[in-house]
Amino acid sequence: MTDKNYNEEDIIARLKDEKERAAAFSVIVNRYSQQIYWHIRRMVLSHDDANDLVQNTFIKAWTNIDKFRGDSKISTWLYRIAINETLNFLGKSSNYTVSINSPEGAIAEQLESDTHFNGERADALLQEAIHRLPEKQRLTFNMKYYEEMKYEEMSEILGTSVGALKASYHIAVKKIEDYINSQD
Amino acid sequence: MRIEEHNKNPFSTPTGYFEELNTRIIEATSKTEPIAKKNFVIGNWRRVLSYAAMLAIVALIAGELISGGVRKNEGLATVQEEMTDDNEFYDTLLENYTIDDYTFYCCLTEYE
Repeated sequence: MTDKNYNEEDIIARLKDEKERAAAFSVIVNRYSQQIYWHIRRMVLSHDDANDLVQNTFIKAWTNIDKFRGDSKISTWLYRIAINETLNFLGKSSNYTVSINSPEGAIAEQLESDTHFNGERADALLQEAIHRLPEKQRLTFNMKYYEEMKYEEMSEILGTSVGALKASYHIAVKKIEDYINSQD
Repeated sequence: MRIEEHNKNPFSTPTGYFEELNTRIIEATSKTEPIAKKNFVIGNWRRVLSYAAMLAIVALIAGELISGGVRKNEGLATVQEEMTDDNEFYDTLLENYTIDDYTFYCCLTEYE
């Protein structure tokens, strides 16, 4: 189904019909899988981790489809599941782990040797700077800078006020620029 | 160096990844069933009954506390009445005794 033919109200109605549900869900997968993948990938950095998490996100969305009441947009609902899965994963294990004792530049070096990273040293340092942010601040930064989301939409997904998100984003930008400049 | 000067997406994926991804997700979801919504009647009636039971217990306890206070106050009033009755009792005794007041009061003081 092309974007022109996508009708969210129609999809939500079909999700509630047991006979139409699977077909409607495949439309959702086709429409949102890439977006959700990249959202997760920017948080976990590793393709393998993002691959597992994006599948888990959609499986969780499918098994809990009856809980989706249609009060929010489908994308908002999917983002919330994806963020939940990602934060749980980061709390347990990750191919890219940052701790207080992590030497500066370690994540950048790991990225440069990653076959699914095409950036230069500066890009790797930027990703390290972002990865060193607290998780929720990292989410805010990624959603605003990379996904160009509006603050109102981010507020609905994250359950944080617009004002707090704006402040968090500006602080994140400052921290990232300071870190990159310190590595020059 | 400012953030805007960096490559916006330095990450890549294996060739054909997204075409296969959608197929894999749909295959995985076809093997699992959505969790059925809980039966409204059974699930919610149990909850309603438990709330009703809790309310009943609270009402019982509150009732006991309130009525216990009333009884206590009534008891105090009874004691006060009894005390008054005692005075009347002795007054009556005094009136009905054939002994004179002096002798009666002496008898009373013997038992002090």
